Amino acid sequence: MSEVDMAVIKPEMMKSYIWLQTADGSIQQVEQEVAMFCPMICHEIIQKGMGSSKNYAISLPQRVSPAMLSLILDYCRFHQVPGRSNKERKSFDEKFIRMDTKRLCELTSAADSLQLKPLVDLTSRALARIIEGKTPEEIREIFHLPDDLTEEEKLEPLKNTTDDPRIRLLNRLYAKKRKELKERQKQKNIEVEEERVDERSVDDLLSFINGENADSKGVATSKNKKKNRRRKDPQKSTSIDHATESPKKGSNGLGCLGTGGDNESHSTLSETSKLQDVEDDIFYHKVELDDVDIDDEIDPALKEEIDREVEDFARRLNSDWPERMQELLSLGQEKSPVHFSINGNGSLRKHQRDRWLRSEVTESMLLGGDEQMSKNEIQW
Amino acid sequence: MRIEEKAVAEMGDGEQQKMMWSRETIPRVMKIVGARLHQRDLVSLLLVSPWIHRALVSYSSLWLVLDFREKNKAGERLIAALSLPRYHHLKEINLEFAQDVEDRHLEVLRTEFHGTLQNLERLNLNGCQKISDKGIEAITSCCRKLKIFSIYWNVRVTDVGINHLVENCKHISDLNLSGCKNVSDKSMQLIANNYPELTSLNLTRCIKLTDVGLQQILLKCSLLQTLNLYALSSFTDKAYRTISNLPHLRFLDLCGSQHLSDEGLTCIAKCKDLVSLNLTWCVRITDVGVIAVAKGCRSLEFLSLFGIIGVTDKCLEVLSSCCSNTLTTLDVNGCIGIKRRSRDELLGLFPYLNCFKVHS
Repeated sequence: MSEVDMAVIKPEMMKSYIWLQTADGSIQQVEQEVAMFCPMICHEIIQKGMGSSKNYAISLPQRVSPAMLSLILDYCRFHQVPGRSNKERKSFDEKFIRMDTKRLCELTSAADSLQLKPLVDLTSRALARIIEGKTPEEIREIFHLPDDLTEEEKLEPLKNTTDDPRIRLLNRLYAKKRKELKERQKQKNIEVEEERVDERSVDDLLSFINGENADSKGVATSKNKKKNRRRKDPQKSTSIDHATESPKKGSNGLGCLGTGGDNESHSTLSETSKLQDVEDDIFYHKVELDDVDIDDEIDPALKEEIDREVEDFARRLNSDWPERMQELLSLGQEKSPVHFSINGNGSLRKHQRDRWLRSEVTESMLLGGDEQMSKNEIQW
Repeated sequence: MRIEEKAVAEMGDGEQQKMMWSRETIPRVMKIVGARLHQRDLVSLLLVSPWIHRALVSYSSLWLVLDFREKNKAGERLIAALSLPRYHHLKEINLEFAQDVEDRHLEVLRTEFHGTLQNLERLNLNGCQKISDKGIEAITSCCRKLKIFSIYWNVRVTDVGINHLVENCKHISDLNLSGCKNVSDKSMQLIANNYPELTSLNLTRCIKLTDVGLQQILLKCSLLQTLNLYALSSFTDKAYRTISNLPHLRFLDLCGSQHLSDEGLTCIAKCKDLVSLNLTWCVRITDVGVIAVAKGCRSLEFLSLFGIIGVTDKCLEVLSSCCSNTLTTLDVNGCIGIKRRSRDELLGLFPYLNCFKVHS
């Protein structure tokens, strides 16, 4: 029989298939014209003669999972047909890339390893649209990337080899925040202790009722303990709050000043000493307030107010902290080049990470801001 | 989660996958995507994770351009950015309408970054009005391979600055001096003598120039493809005639050339590759000149006759018979000598027209 006859009778027999193997070991058959759409596969077939049988299946790169291969082959199957119009192709592409971001990334990676440039262009364009205009935090969320510094690590003091007053200030603020973190953790422990304290005070009361004189002291002690604790919190958080607020104002003021490193360091120094004064003021102010209450119970309304303030400061601190840090660091110009190396198994040493974080923040401020720099937000 | 130094094998599958994702897959993908992102988004990406940072920073083709258009404190930002090693292969710096760029910043570039800017090819100082000849001396001395230089709307630039340019940068192919009102014929001579391979020159509003200076250019820069003489009313046919000396000319802007006559225009018509010709307010032109252009420039796509009252329907007929296949922009507003110039009538003569107004 002639070839043409055979084709009429059994068209499937004339189609040739290519064998492909993915990293998980599974092997599949794919129509040759579809598979050949991928330059990498094409190369394997033509240059190395692979793929013609199961035993000689073409090993695909590790990044090409069976799921990704399936998607890629769908793409190839459509586009390798010559007769399609541009409109058709465009329409297919638009529908094709409607998938979640994770898959888009995997697909980009897989298509790249198969050198399928049109698909790489399509997916990377879509990813670029997703990334455009987003902050680093948002990007981390979208792509499920861990924010891999712990609370404590973020508050590690930065190395201050040049004795930069801004870094000194920042480290002091970090120290305060670390203290607060510890306090919070202690509070959790204290809550357990508190019960014991209360029990004692109940005992005291009972003995008092039963008529023992020494107990008034005990009662007073427990009351003082409570009062002191209360006093500590608002004072601490207020001073932290002011500490973080002043630099913010300061950095705005400095931002408006002209150029010149000298100007900047002067102002910051005066800002630092101003800060000390502010802190001291707050301390005395709060002490006065509490002194009034020595013998009475704390007015519940005031207590509520203080509690609310503390909560508010804590919340603001947590959300504003990255921005505050950036503003502070933005005043500097990173003159020395940044080098960081990564250990063999991939972890960054702490001080190197510092440098990375610090320099990048500086740099992003320099590159990112708009012509009218917003006072409250760092515009990425 | 604290990433400690434990062997990958000891990790559970889930954690291993997470690490693969954030340390390998994503950085690789971001490298590919990075090429499509603007500077701002690229920097945001750098801050997402150290692994993305490493992947992007090492990919030098992402960092060939520094764009500070319209930014404030641009001089300082430029210096700070240049201190980062990834910008040490820069090809382009764009400071168009950036604020706070001064001579001293460019001088810092010369002293601190002399080596790193040696491959810069394109520099845009448009609207940086504080830059003077001194700044030009500084920047040209460290960017000797500059090919494209643009410094429009700067009245501090004088022949001295241009002299520094031609002394330091021998490979300029594209020069924009639009609005540099203090540049004189002397600069034209310097340019003509030093840039025989110049392909694009913009002299808009360089009002001190005369026929003498322009002729120098026309005689020696014979590779010119783009020539912009917008709002220069002091030239005469003496110089205009010499435009025929530019066989590769494709874009010519003569807006406001009030002394251009049909004779001069007929010589210009010898530039057969002309694609774009702006004759707005060339009030002495009549049908004769336009017909010469129609017959000589068969690839014409863009033509403005705005404000020319001496042209009539006749020139449009000839234009139609010669250039109807290519002409897509035709502005005949204010041409009261042309009676049939409604949109439909024009489309009848030039079926591919899509733009009917150039000059506002």
